[in-house]
Amino acid sequence: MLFNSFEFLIFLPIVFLFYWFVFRRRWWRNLFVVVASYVFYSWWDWRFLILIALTSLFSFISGLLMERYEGQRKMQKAVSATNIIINLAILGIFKYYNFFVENLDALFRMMGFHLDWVSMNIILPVGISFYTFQALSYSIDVYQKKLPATHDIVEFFAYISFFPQLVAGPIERATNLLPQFQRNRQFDYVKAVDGCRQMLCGFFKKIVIAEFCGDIVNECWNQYQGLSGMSLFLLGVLFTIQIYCDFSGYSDIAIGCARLFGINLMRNFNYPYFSRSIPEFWRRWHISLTTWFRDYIYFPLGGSRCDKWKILRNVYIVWAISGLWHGASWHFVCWGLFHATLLAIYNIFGINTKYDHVVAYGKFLPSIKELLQMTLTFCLAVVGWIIFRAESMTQAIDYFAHMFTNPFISGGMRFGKATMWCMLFLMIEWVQRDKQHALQFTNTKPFNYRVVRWAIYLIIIGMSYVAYMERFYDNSPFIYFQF
Amino acid sequence: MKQFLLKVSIIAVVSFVMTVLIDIAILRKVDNLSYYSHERNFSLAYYRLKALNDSNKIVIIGGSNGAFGINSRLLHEAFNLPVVNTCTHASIGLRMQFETYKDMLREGDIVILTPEYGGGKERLYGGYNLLRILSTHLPEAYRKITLRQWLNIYQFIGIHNLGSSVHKDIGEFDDPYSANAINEYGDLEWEREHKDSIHYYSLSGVMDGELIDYFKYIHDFTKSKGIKLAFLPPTFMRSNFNICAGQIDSLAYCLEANGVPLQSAPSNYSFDDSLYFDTPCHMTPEGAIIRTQTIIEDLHRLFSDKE
Repeated sequence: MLFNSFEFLIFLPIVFLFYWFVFRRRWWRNLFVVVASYVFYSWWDWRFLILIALTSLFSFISGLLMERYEGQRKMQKAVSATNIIINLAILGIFKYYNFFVENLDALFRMMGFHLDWVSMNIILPVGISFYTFQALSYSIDVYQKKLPATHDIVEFFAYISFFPQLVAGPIERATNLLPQFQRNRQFDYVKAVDGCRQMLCGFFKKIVIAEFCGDIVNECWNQYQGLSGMSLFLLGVLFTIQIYCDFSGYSDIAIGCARLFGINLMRNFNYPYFSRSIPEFWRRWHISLTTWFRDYIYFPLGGSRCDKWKILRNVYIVWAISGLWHGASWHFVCWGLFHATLLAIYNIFGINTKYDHVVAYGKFLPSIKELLQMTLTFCLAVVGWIIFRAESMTQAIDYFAHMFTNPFISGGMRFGKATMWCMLFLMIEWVQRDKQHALQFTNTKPFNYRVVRWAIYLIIIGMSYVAYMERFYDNSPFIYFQF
Repeated sequence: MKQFLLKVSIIAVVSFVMTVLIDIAILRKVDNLSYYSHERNFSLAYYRLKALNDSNKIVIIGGSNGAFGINSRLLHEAFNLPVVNTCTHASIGLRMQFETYKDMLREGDIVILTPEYGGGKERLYGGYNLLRILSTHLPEAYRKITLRQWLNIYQFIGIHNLGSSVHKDIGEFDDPYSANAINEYGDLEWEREHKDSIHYYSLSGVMDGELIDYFKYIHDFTKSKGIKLAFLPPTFMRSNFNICAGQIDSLAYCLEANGVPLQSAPSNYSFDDSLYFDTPCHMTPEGAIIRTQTIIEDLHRLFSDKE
């Protein structure tokens, strides 16, 4: 079930009413969350319920076993490791089997052998990368004694399968989300209203901006050879906006929706295109994933508390894995390594941990230096997204080659108008860059007048409705669903 | 909680009203591509029929296979009756066509019903072209749409909005699909030659229950009004017909089993590939003549027997 569908429009109010008015006790409420989430997930394919149930069960049992072997660290380690291996094996089979077979076959063919392995027609379960990481987070946190194992299977299943964040994150930590299922939730009017605003913001970003950019990118990408250099860059900019609005829009809907149920999910995007450096960009983009990799891979490898070469090694390992997480293809790995290289460069110059505050806070305009920094970071991000969008590394290289060898501006500058609209959108986000989301109004004029706020909501709803109806036939899922 | 539910309800109601107003605004938009195309025949046929309200006539109702595949002049000469060819793009839906014209049918009229092959709901309720045809050519026909039909065609409002914006710079054009190709009967009369690369259609052999019911309704309506109904197969290119023979037989059998059989064998209306223009249903002028002669023979057989 997609968030931007009529089915969800019916599903959400029903679940909301049952959640608050019918199931008032914590355990029954959690059970209802599990049932509703499984219904939500089964809308794609009911067969994949087995996978998520197995993942949840293995992780739950691993927690209980680790508690049972309290004081026996070796046994606890073995249990945790077994759970990690099982869950990664499930993920590996469904996501990476064909990639593994194709590459192994290519390797053996280079040596003159021909393998007779069969590629399987495996459908990638929606959200498998997300909920698997969430399950692993629990197991590792219990092992590291960051939280006790839970004995309530229902609350644990609710933690894994909670529908707003089930298929595309944020990847929640057990230390944040599980305790919220362990206590009874109270309806909070202010949070619910702000949650609705955040959902509306997310729908607008996804349905209007992302789809608008996506139409142009999908139409023109495969004919890139004939475009001017400037047009190729602007096409990359449009994809940069598309992927941001698509993914952050989804996260806004997920977080806003969770707040309707009294659940606080972690922030996943913090206006990444206003970053002054690539390290800052990765502190603001897909925060749940980058912090997951940082805490569960980078830090155990030694993090930054080792010599320079080991730091570089750790960075490259983490980003290669991150690239592979995004897709079973070498160009995703190259994308990851591209960013690893940038991070290494920033690390060498000692500006990796700078800039943890809102840019130009309290001011309307950035300084010249900040503007140049943001522009450079944005351009580097565009380069990365071009690699990400390409179907292969060959295509990405060819794309860049055409960008630099085709006439800079020929036959007019295509996509100029579309890019202007996107810049307008970014300007609106700029004004709200210190807020959780773009529709979080303060008590300043004119937003303190209810009629002004409601007029804005209705304009957004109207625009989203028209955009949604125009693409009814091609109701595209979110980009990050493929992960 | 009460305050929250109240606010959400108010926003929901206001949003609903706003979306209805948006839909109404969209449905008033004219699509230039439709305006200058053969789809204009939908309103031209309406006014022709209105002018012939008091006299007997031959009325042809069907998809574009009838627009591109019938020579109404021959029918006129054979039966000495005025002919109104109402055929247009099949995605207007059979229901819209019949409901728009049925009040102008009278006892003694001959109705040739030749819908396209295909048994889905879209054949009955219409597809993405329905809204642009109505909005552009005959907005008063919106009154004929029932709630059930709205539920089926509502999804095309967005496409109509998109289309009318994209086509706003289109002007008059001259080709077989243009409004200039419509002759005084409603046929599309334009120079057209057989094209070698005609893509085959694939058909489903399953017919929707509501579509069958509507065929029965047309059958009963015409019978009750003393109108002669000739339910004839559409024309279909022979090589494509041979591939889809099983599905076509299945559709024909379905109609027969439900008491509304085709009144001629589908194979009678399948002709050599060279007589087709650009799709398996659109004929060249020569093909239209041959097909019309087959229709004339069938009409003689059907109505001479009855008399």
